[in-house]
Amino acid sequence: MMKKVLCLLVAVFIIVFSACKKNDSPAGSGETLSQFIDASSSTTWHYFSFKDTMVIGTGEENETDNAAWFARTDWDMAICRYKIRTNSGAATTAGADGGVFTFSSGISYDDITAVPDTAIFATDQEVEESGMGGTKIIVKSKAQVIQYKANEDGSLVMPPVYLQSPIYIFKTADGKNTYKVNFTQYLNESSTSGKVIFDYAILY
Amino acid sequence: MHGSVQQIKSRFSLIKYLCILPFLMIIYSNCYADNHKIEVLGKGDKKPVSYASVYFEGLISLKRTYEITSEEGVANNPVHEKSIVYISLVGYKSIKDTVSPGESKTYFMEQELINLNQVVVTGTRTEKRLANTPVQTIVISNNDIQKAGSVSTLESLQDCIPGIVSIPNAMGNNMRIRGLNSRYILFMVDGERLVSEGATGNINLDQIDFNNIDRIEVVNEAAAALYGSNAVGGVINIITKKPKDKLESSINASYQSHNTKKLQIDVGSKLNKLTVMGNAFRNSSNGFDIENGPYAARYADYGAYLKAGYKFTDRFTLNLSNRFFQHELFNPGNSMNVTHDLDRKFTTGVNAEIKSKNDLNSIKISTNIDKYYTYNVLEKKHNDLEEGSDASYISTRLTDTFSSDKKWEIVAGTEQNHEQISTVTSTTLGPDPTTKRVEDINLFGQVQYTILTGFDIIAGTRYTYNNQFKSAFTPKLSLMYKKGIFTFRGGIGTAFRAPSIKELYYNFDHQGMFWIYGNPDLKAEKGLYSSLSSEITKNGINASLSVYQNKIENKITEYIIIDFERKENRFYKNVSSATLKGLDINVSYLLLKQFIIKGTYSYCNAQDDLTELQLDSNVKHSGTLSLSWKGKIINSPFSLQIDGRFNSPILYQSISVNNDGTEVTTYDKSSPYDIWKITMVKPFKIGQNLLEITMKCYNVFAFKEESFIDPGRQLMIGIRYKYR
Repeated sequence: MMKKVLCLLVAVFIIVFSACKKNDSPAGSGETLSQFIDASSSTTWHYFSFKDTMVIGTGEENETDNAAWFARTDWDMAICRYKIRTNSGAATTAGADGGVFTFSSGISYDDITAVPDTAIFATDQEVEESGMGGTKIIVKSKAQVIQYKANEDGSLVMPPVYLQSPIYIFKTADGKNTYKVNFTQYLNESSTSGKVIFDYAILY
Repeated sequence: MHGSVQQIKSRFSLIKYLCILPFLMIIYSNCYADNHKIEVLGKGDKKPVSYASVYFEGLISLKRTYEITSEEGVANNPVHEKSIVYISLVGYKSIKDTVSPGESKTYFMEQELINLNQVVVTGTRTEKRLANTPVQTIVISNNDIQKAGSVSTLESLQDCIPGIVSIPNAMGNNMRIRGLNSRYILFMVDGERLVSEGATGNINLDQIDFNNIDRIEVVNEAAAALYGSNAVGGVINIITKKPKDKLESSINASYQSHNTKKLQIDVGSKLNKLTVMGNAFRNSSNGFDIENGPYAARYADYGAYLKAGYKFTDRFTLNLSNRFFQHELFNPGNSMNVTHDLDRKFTTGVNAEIKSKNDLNSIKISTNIDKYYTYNVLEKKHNDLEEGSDASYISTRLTDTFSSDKKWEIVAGTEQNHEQISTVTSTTLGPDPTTKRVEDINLFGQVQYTILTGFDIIAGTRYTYNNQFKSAFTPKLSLMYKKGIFTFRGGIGTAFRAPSIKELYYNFDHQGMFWIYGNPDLKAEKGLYSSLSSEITKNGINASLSVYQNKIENKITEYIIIDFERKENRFYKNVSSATLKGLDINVSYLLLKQFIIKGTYSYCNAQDDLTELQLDSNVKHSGTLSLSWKGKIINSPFSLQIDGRFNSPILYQSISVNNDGTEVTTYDKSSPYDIWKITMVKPFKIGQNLLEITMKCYNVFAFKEESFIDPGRQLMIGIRYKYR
């Protein structure tokens, strides 16, 4: 009986200890992890937590779902096709402190080991997206999964040419941690859009 | 030993004679040529005309021989029986005469600005001399293309037709002429229409090897009575070469900036009953990707063409033609795309011509199948091909041409067209694979009557029954009156444009930016074209002035609805009408008997009647200018040509609707621009054959503009060898 109790206590101790480790210690501790998100729907946002290393939920691009997610502080980054949200600015009503810093192109993911002293984290904004004949307001970050190649006059090259985005540093919603992120895929091998893969690692 | 010395001596003698023999032959042939020669001089300046083609055809044996005049304007007279001699050189009036064996003759060739004896077919569907066609036609000859160093069909058109705007993309040249996109212009090859891609009728003109073009005929007016849908703003008919000799071939290679390489080879043969022409080409370019500047993708094209004709009897001829084209467009090195586009086109045509015993009737039966496949090349799956869609256009026609005497000519026929698009992985017609079809059947007829000498009238009409929009009736009337050096032409004609399959059935998400939906209830657009023109030809000047109006009703226009989810949806509707009014001036002038100056000016006010805005990409003022000089350096001929095209700003005017429903009118425009190029062509005669070296500087002044996809100044060197 005593042995059983001891075993049970050990098991409980291990579970509690490991759970504490997951909550208190940043994922990977500097090692690079890779994440796939199926963000192929043009109306669905996928909310991702760096600490939990997973998508914690989805929400549609409408006022109700947006309001619900903007009131939460347990997500750090959201993706809808090529669009990104951070838990900051216009994307939070709970005072979250997320944001994104964009490196200039040409700097490789591996070379980044710390947040530059001069880094300024941009917060999400309400952006008026205009197409021919219509405009709509959308809350999003300046960061994007991919960049569209544009002609000199700003019009997009057709058929679209997707260029790799620069390396980003995302700040978690609580403002305590930063992660470097490299988006490595937007189209899967069958060329379906929104099949996003990104590498990420904590910087501190 | 002695024997060996003898052997060596005899071998030396043999070698000596073998060496001397060619010189003796050359001396003999020169003496022979000196005694029996054809000399060709310019009519005005009496200077030798070099590199003119001289054909001889025996009157009894019908045996044909071919010569080229030397730099001194002299060719041999090789005939052994009385023969017809034809002397021709582009830019000069052709000469036809007879010569006897051993006879020497001198001919004087007269320069002409425009070959008014050129046979054209597009305006009337029958062969007519350019001077006698009641429908004003612009001809761009193969020589025009070569002198201007043009390396594409589009460049040839831009050199000669004012106001062409092209913003190329993966599917084609994306051309607009006078604010009308390619769907309002009928593009044909040898009289058969080209299948197009997309709702705007985008056509890749690179599918036709420009080296294989005999001429391009441009009819700048509605021609629906003869050709049906799309011939609202004009017709561009590319006529391919036909062989003239027993064996002829040419190879043409050029290298241009941005590693643009073009290689073409063609071989032709004209025998008693059989004619065969084959052609193959490969074009490729690295494109350009200038930082903060224009971008064009790397591409590789392959093409081949084979046509054959067999004359079973004097009254029955059968012709076959096949064409293949592949266009592959690559991604830039730093892209995240995993596929790139590859298109393939197959065209097969067969036609039979039967003439009646009295030569009054000529019946032509033809079928032409044009297939267009789009593929995705899956770069992460071993470059496997994934078919996106295939489009096809099948046209079957029966035409009878009846000429009772010199006064009457009747062309009548029936035509059935079948257009189809099948999607496989492409989602442009909905998420699931589907096939959409449009079919029409047509009756058409045209009568030409010569009221008086030099006074012709043409009346024609077409009835079309289309399974989608039902009926269209398109009558037309043209007049031509010639008096002395003047030619007057006038006409009024109706036209229609059938909605494209994509305008009818589009249903797809456009890159996540908006949804676009077709409208199966679309009606045909209707056009009413009227024009008046006058032309004068006299003593080294040819000039024409034409004024026109083109009224297009039921115009299919895209309109936008923002739904309750703020999603942008685009639809098509027959909501607008447009009126195009303008004038065209063409002048050609022979200056100092050496320089040919050609200039065009076009004014076009292309206005949407509802919004009073200019049609998208219209250019109000445009023109072209060319100065051509056939000169000589130390008695060695060459041609130097300067070409320019100038446009007033390209107009981009549109109305958009804001969230609150208010309309915002945008007036955008490019800068005015002019593009110049200089081309020098130096021919060399090698026996009966010609070697030409072409050097070209395109966009000499390196014009750049953000709405203009052009990398700036480009250099080209080309070499062409013509074998006969």
